[in-house]
Amino acid sequence: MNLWILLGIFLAVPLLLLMFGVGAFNRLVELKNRFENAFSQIDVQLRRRYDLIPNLVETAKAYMSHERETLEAVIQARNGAVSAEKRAAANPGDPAALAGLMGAESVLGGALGRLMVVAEQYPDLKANQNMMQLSEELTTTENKIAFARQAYNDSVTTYNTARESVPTNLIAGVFNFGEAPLFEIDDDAVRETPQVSFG
Amino acid sequence: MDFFEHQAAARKTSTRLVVLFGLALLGLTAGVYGLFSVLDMFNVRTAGVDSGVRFAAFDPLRLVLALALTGAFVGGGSAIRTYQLRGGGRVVAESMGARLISNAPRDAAEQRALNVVEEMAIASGSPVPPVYLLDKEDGINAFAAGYGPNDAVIGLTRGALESFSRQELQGVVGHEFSHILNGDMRLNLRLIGYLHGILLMTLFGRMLFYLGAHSPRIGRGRGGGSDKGAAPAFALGLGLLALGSIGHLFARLIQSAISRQREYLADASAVQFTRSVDGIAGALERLGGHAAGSRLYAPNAEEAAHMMFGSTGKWNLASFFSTHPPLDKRVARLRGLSKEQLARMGALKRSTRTSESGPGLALGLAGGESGMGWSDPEVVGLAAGSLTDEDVDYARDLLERIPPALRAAVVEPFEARAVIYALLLSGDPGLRREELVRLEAHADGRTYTATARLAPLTEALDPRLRLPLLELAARPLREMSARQYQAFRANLEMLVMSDQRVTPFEHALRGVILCQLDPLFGGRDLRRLGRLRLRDRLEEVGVVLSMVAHGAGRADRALDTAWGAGRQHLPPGLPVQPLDLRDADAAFERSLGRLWDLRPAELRLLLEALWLAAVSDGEVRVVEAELFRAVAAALACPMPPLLAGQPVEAGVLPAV
Repeated sequence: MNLWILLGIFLAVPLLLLMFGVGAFNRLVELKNRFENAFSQIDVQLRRRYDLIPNLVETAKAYMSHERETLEAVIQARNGAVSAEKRAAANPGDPAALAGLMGAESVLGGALGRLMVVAEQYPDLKANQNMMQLSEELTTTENKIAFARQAYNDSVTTYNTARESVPTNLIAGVFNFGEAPLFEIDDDAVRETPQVSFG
Repeated sequence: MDFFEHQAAARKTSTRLVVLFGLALLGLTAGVYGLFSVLDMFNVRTAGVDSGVRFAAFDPLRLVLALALTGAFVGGGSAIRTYQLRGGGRVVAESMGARLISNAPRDAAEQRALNVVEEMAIASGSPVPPVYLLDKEDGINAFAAGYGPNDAVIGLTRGALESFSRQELQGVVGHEFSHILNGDMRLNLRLIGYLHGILLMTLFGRMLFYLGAHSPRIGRGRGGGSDKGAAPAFALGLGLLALGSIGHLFARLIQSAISRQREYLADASAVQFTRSVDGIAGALERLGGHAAGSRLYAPNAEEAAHMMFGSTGKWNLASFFSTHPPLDKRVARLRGLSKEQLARMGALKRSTRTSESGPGLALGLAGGESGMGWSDPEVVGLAAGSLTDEDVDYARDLLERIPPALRAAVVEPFEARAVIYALLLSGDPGLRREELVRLEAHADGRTYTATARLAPLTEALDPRLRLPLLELAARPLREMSARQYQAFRANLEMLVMSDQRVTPFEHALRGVILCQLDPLFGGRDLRRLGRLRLRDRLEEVGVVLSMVAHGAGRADRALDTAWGAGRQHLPPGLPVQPLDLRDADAAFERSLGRLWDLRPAELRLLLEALWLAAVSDGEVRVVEAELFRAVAAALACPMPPLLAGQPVEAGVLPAV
């Protein structure tokens, strides 16, 4: 009988440990996948917005040739955001890359905001059909970004909570599941841009 | 053998193989029992005759231990696998480095693929699966991954996207849909889980073997009093290692053979779904002639090998271990179809149900719970066997008539939500204004704006397009976070209940959302096996059938015909006349809620009766289509949808 008891313990303990470990590991992978997928949703919309901006600037140029600086600032901020986005998309979950993107995004938001304020002084531009359509699309895209960002932050929070809770944190430590960063933008600056109405 | 015999044969063979697989597991258990017996005998002998311990050939404790050991490994392996796939097919797709293209197709080829998948989904009455693209793979291949229709995804390689014609792509997507609808993914997951368990057992045996062999006591000489632990561990390890290896070999042979049969079945189903041999056979021929073939380079491709359209390349040499039959054999089977057989297809498709007992039985045997609605043989048979090219063409036609602005809105969650809200807004201007005000208060300003912008479009929408639009919108809604989903559900309920009544469309909408999304967000999974028969729920059945029979204001003779058509399909006990429904909406809702517990086969009968009632005058009205969808969705049955305006034949059931 001794043999059987020994065998039982020998079998049960490692098996239980293994099953727990695999379970915790899988859950972390799943949550990580989820927030990375959520990030790619933001990514899709960000790119869409970066594609819209040059058109917007092109249209505005015809009416406000005296505001070259403002326009150039927008293009520059956009280009900065594009490369920051590429970096962040290449390593989702990397705090430094995401911080870069957040910074670039708020610069872009500020530049766009200034452009919109200046544009207010040009009634012809405001009445331009193309401009109205572009700014409408920009608004919609901003809204989609905000929604996707909320989903991303929710799934990052779930992941971080799981990562820090006992006993999953043991597995997270061993297999290097790092803390994932939240995606927060200086919301007011960004929100102001699309709210300017060209109606 | 003709085409449908091939299909029947593939089902039958895979059933046999699954039985064989079960026997192999039993054999493994017997082997472990034998091993324990030998060890016990050894134990008794070393203990000496005077110890009073006797060896018995049959010892219940030993049997229990043998069962427990095999069960722990095989069950554990299976559980680990199931757990890994808990995130659904998207986890598999993403681990292969695939990119979700459903939200943002980048070129015409990607858009075309999405269209083909959407048409097939609408036509088969299953949720629209997310489509993933393996961007860096030039080989031609495709896969379906996931646990069931609700979390299935379809993946295509860049090579497939670029080399296939639309017709061939349709064939390939039809092939993958067959895997989804036939429950192949679930079956394979189980089998691979067991394989994994047997492998774990082998590894454990090896560990014991080494521990035993390297124990210092064994070096000092056998038979000494103190090495009682080491020698049996050595022997047990060796035994388990041998048993596990043999078991794994056999199990894997059988699993590959099953997989090959399911491929034939999926090829056959692709023809049935698209009514075209050229699509799927052309795709296979193209695959054969392609330089890169179906080879994949993604590190995790092996994981999904069994779900691939063509083999991933590694196992080609050892055909016994191959998960896919050779290409030329597959093409020959498809091309072997004579003109006459093709001409007979229309008639033949009605007789396929006799051969449908394969997959469900197989699943029931392989795993404890075959209770999921669509793994039931009958339900699957009806769904998979009745999708026709007319369905697909009609679905395509419907989808093309949805205004572009709405189609563009249902590709990502933010606006898809707004589309759902807009669809639910009341037609009454006063109430509508009230609903919008409430939406602005409960949802946020942005959602309100988007809804208000889309509302005129949904209001002007042809009612026949509402259901297909809803099915399209359900896909991106999966991208929401749990918190966003809770808010969405609350708003949905508010809009449905704002006028104190639930219309057929609202029933259908709620049913589809509940059935497809709730389980993903931790809600109750409604796909389970009921026990009740129709005769236990005659009253509710009567209410539902009456609603459909009344349809859009049928009366007198037409009403009686519709009622009669449904009634004669159901068990006796229903009144001769349709029920006079006073508070029809409330009664319908209450009845739907009480039909959950029906057995799948009985559900099918009910759905068939509703179908017969609806088509009794050879015409599908919007209200009928919506009621039918509501019942099918609420009861979690994948059914070929009744599409409003679709040409149907009175008194004819699909695939019966």
